[in-house]
Amino acid sequence: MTSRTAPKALIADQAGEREDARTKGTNALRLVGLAIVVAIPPLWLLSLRDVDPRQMTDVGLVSVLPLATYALIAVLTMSFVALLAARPLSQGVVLLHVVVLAVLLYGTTSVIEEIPRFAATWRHLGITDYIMRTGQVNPNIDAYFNWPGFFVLLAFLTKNAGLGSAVVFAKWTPVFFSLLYVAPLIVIFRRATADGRVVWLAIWVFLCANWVGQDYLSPQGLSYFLYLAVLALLVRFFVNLEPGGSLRTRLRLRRNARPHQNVGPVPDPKPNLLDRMEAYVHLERPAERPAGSITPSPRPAPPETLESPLQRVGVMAAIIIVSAAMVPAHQLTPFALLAVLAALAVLGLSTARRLPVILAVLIPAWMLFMASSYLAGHFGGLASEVGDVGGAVGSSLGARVGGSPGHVAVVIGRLALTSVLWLLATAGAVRGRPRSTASLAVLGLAPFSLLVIQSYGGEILLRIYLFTLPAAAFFAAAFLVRLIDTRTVRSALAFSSALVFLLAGFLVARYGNERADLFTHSELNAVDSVYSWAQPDSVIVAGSENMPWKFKKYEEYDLEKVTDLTTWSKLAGSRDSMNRLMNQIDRLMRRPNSSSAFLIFMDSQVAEADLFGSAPRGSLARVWEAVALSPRFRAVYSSSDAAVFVPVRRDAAR
Amino acid sequence: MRYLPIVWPASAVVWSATAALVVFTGATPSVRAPIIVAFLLVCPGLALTRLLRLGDLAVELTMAIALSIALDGLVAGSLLYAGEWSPRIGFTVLLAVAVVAAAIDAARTRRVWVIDR
Repeated sequence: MTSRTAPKALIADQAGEREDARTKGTNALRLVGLAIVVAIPPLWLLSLRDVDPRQMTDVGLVSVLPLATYALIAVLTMSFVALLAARPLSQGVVLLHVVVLAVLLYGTTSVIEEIPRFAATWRHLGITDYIMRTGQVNPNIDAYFNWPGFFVLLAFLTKNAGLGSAVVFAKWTPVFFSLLYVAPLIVIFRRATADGRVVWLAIWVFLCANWVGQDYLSPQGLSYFLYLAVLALLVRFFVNLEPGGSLRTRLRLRRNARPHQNVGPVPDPKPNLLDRMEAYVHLERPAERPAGSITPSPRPAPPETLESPLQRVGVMAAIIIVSAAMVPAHQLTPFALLAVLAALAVLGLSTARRLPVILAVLIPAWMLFMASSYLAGHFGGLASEVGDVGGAVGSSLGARVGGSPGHVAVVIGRLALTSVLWLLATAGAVRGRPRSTASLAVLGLAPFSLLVIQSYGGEILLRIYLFTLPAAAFFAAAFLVRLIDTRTVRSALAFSSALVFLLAGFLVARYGNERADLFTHSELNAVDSVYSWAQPDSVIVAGSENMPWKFKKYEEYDLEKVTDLTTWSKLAGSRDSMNRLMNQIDRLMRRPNSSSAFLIFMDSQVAEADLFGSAPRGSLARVWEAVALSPRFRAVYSSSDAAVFVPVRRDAAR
Repeated sequence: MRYLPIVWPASAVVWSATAALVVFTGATPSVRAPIIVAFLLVCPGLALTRLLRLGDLAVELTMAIALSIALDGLVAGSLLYAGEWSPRIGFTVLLAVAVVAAAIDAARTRRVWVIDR
């Protein structure tokens, strides 16, 4: 007996020593990780200090980012991967890495650019301003006023905050929204897998793959959070996880299962300072974990916690309220949610079978009663797109591959990033072992049904990509984690290559249009000057609509665009074609019954025209130059980035 | 002993009181904006979510923020479509929701605490 137990004791001692060594190693890694997340944000700010966004080329932000910024992202990623590979998983420090990644990836433009980016941001500020001024919405102005939920909320927040404009919120909204998305994603992913590494890697992949840029100050940015929140609550409390398994069977199995099976290393019974810090930032209550445990027990699944009728009714009421708030806020997101809810219910994966019915009533009710103005004017166009899947795909894909060589490279980068993510996701769904493949596959596939409804102005594939991203990120992470487990040089290389590709692809894909998307103070001043001079009957012409426009007096002015004129498309570089365009602009600005006219040019318009190639490169810059040299126009505002011209009186011109 | 901390409802009440103070005294926007935005994005939903005792911080955080945003939007939208646009009335309604829910939470917390002791 003694001779048999001695080696066992020896083996146990050796295992204990290995465990101690591993715990010490993990503690050291946690300390290094903490130091990295503390050090990176100030270093990142320093690295961006000398960036001049005006030097950007057609490939966008990556053309001006210094090497130091890339190096910081690489260091953060390496630290994240090291923490993922360590046992036990240090979730608090990993969470801090995710937060810093979100700030780095989504906040860079907020640091280097002078004012909020995107023309749409400024339009949204104008709608909010309209509501703040008038206290009402006018559905006859445009589609935004038929789904004004987001703008009403923004006006409400801005007024109560004592601010005169919502512009202060605009610059950092992408960082705010991307961080907001993390909580529901944790809920969804944690429900789908017991492996904490997959959860955090999926969030990392999500942040690196969310290149579609809908997280600016926009209805879709906020509605996407509500969409994720509804899915999180649904998946957490009302979705059967095992495909084909009923909730009752699942609950019975879980009740009979041994608690905390598959638990990894035995946790340290005396938590140190780092452990206590982890407990503070941990996203589960300490009481839910085994005593002394720092990492969450990778138990089969969280127990069903809706024990009382009050809880069931309360959570369902919250889901209905949040869904109801989404309906007046955005046209498309409620349809995406309806598609997912209906698919889950039809496939028997969700116990909330009446929920899609409620949404199916709310959506048309809003359209018929509150958005009737829009529907009356656009019904024919909307109806003609229903079922035209080929047209929707064509307008989303084919129409976008064009423009300058740099822009074509960016578009190819976007397609490559999307394809790689979907390939990884497919591999993860097929080869990975997430326990709720069916439910998450529904989350990833149901939004494709939106292709049947409409092209959404050629953006439907982008939006579908966004709605499917949580599931795609999860499955991709499930596949990538297998590479960590393999622990071979080849798998390590494959894993690193995938992360590097996602990060590089993100920077190219998301900020590829940045030369056109960014605005400067002087461009804003040019538009502001026009607003201060113009009368309600003034004619306002601009190179294109790509400028900070409509942020005030939203309803007062219509904009004529040079790039929409018939002579613009025939601009071939010859003097004749330029003269014809100049004559058309001149006629437009001397419209009878108008008290004044203004012509606005700015660098962002030139960049947009060059990037998307609506005419030979440099055409809009040549038109701007021709106007500046023409005796028919006089500059009333001029800076290095923008200019405003007015027509010279005919007698004066002579 | 089951111990349900009173810190949440107490925090909700304190935050609500601070928000009411800065709104009704007309504090400068630089002080008022962060307090009000944080209140409107978290407090009403958090106070209601806490009543459900869901026991998972990520779930509670998700539900609290989503519910707050939804309630803000629904209250503001209802006032606007009723022709009674008044951000201050809307704020008062949400303040009442947060305070009443926090008071119920506090009462339940105290009851459980007393019983367990």
